[in-house]
Amino acid sequence: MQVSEQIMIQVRFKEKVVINGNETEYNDALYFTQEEYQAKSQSEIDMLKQERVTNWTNVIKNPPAFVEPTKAQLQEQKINLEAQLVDVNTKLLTAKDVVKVIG
Amino acid sequence: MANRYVRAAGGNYSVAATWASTSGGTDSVAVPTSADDVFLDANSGQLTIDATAVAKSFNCTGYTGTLTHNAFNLIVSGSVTLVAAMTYTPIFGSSFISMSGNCSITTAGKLQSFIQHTTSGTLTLQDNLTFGTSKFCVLVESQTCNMNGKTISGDSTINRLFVQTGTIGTSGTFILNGGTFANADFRDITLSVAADLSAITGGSGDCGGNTNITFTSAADQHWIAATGGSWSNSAKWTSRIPLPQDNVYFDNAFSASQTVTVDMRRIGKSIDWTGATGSPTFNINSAPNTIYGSLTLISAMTLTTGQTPVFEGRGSFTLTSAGKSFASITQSMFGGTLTLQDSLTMTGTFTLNNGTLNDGGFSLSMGSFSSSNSVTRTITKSGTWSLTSTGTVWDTSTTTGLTLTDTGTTSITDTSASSKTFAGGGKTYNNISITGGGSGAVIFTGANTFNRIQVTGGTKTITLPGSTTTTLISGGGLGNGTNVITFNASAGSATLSKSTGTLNWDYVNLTNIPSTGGAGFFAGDNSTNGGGNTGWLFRGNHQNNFAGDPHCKALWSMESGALTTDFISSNTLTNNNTVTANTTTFREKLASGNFVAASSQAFNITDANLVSGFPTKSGETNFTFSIAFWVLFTSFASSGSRRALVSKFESGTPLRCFRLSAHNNAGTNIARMTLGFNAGNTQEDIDHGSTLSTATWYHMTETYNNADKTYQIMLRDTNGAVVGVDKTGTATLDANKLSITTADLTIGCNGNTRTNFQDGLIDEIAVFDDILTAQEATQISLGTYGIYTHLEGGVRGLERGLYGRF
Repeated sequence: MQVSEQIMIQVRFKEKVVINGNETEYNDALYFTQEEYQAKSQSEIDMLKQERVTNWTNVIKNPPAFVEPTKAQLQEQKINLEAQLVDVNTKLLTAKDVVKVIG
Repeated sequence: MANRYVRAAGGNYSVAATWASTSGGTDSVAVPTSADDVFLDANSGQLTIDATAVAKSFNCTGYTGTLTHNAFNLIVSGSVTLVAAMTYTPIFGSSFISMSGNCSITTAGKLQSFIQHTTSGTLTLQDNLTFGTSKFCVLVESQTCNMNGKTISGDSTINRLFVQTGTIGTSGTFILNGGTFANADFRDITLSVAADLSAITGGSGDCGGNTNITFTSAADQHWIAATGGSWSNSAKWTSRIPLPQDNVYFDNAFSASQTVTVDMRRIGKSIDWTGATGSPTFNINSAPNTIYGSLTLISAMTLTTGQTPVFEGRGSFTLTSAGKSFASITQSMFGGTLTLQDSLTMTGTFTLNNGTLNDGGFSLSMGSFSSSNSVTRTITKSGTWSLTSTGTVWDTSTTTGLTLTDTGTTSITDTSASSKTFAGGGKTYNNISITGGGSGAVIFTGANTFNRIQVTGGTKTITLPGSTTTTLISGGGLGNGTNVITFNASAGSATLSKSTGTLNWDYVNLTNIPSTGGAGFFAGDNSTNGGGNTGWLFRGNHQNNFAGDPHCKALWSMESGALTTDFISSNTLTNNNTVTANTTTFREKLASGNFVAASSQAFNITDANLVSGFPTKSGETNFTFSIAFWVLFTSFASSGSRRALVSKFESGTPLRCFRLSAHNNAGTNIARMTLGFNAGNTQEDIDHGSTLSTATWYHMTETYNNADKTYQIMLRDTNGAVVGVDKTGTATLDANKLSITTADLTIGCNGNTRTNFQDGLIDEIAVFDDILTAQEATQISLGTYGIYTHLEGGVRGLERGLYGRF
């Protein structure tokens, strides 16, 4: 059986979270195979839920410091920008040609 | 147009001393322009492309030296000719050759890095085109490439060539003419004649948008080892390193502490970790990579990511992150949809370039979100999106092609001293929640619409876009408690608009935030007016409560659609010449009466129609009254004349009873109360000492007690402050005191013949059959009459409108 054909059990949950005085609703879901789900107690599932909520809260309370992009990232960005630039220039030249034809 | 030869000494492309006008020449001429033909020949030394370089053509015939191509673009509009005897050293992935129009290229087997042909025309290959040992090698063909029977090759099954166009979703054409490819993946490529590339060396990868190509058949690839390793290790896979069309499964049992490391750019279609055991690590930290389908992670694994996964699938796909945190994510799913299956956490930026992002109602936490371009894309948002970074945390400043459906909440959570910018681009958002605290302002740009803005947890400065209107839908408060929220404009004034109902804020400090749209804007009793806040009422949305006062005999609130309505009795007015409601400038509720003197606009009610008990109604006995109202003058009467405001008075006849007016006393306009006596044949004028101004709201309370003939004229400003000195005294009149006549009661003019018209606004006219105190006059001006209770010593006006006493 392909994994993609497995029946997964979704445990969807939401919880009110107050972070720095700001109340927000946290929405998430856990996924289990049937075997995994049957092997877990409710308290274990609740712990997994709480772990998600705690991690979420920590991320928002303690956002990571800004990290300078790596050289590889900058190269990637440059490639994309160059490609966009050339494409824009193409469109510009095409537009100019059309304008010339139109007169 | 000129020839440019690299001199024997060689040098950098950008330096004039590198160039000569002839082969072997030594004259230092200008650096080549796009009109010049460039030659490297037997007399040329080493050349380094050290900056963006241009040429009409680039010809290396006879050259035996080294051309070092650093990370810059060589832009050529004609032909490029390399030769076998030379050395060419590009930086793979960073050295560009950009060609345009009708052009050709001869590479003589020199390994290429990045070639792009974009401007209309045909690029013709003169020999085989082979790319270098890098995963970053790209061939961009946005127009037409005539392969002329040649072969275009990527380095290997690992260092595959990416053949693409400059714009995702826009196709480029290849004319094979007997040519073929090797180790290549394709996106948006059309073959002029259908061809089978399924069996080319290294296989053909389908990245979407291609036409007339038979690709290597997709084959599910399972990680078949208990150990981790590199993605590019073919021994770990069912049959091959996954191609972009292959689904990838990690459904095996890993040994302890195993890591799968992505070291390729295009890593497969859908990637699914369901079923993996042994708590493996998925490391996508080594290179940016593209996924052409869904990504499904599991709880029992670790994700390490410093690079940006790019989702480029063109169908409906999903992301299940299982609580794992990403650095950044880019979505470039032309015509595709990515739907979240659970909450998503990122430390960096989610960039939406193409396609639909559907949050599935789940929560997202990310440093920032960016989708500022001009292509078709959709955001379907119903969960809470928390933006945790600083700087521009939301960027949809260019919204062309963007469809936003927002029923969720966007939270800006950083509380540092750094500013946060929400560049909304003028779209309509649901709720935006700002975490208070920290000196860093939250800056909005764009003519955005929000359902509601909330600021919780501390003080905050919010800068709204200058010369732009921000629209609010909900009348809900900021949720700021007693934390003062400062609103200012980025430049000039930042208009806040709400079309209906009321907006109720408090503990705000507003500067240059005018309001518009028709709603009532209340800044609350604890707010500060920094100026430039047209339309705001700096008090709570509380209204005088006259209903509990049996002495209040008429109340005309001057509301839209109810200008003539007496809200406390049935003294219905007649509207003469169509006094209109002004819903922009008013003092109470949502409108005022707008009187135009030139149009002879005024209200009246005949004496006979006044309800019994109305003070000064003829045939009755109560001649004592108090009348309170707001007034704003657009213009004043000529010298010696007046703007009659509330009257029961006909000049020059025996119908004089009382008239409250703004009288022009030789150029000085003052509040005047005129009392009639001597059977209405004579009048006595009583003037307040303060000069009135146009375009200024005054609250006037004028009283007369017929028992002892005492009077009061009391003026208050919009903050309830006494204007000048309250005028009090005893009228002279005669022994018969005030005359009661049958004159109409008029508002905005004088007498039955309608003269002395008001030019400006009047709001909330309240008539009492007894005497208001100065404190009650102030309460009415503040809108607190009859609302509050005091423990002791309550003044009479408060008691009259008492809800409860403790």
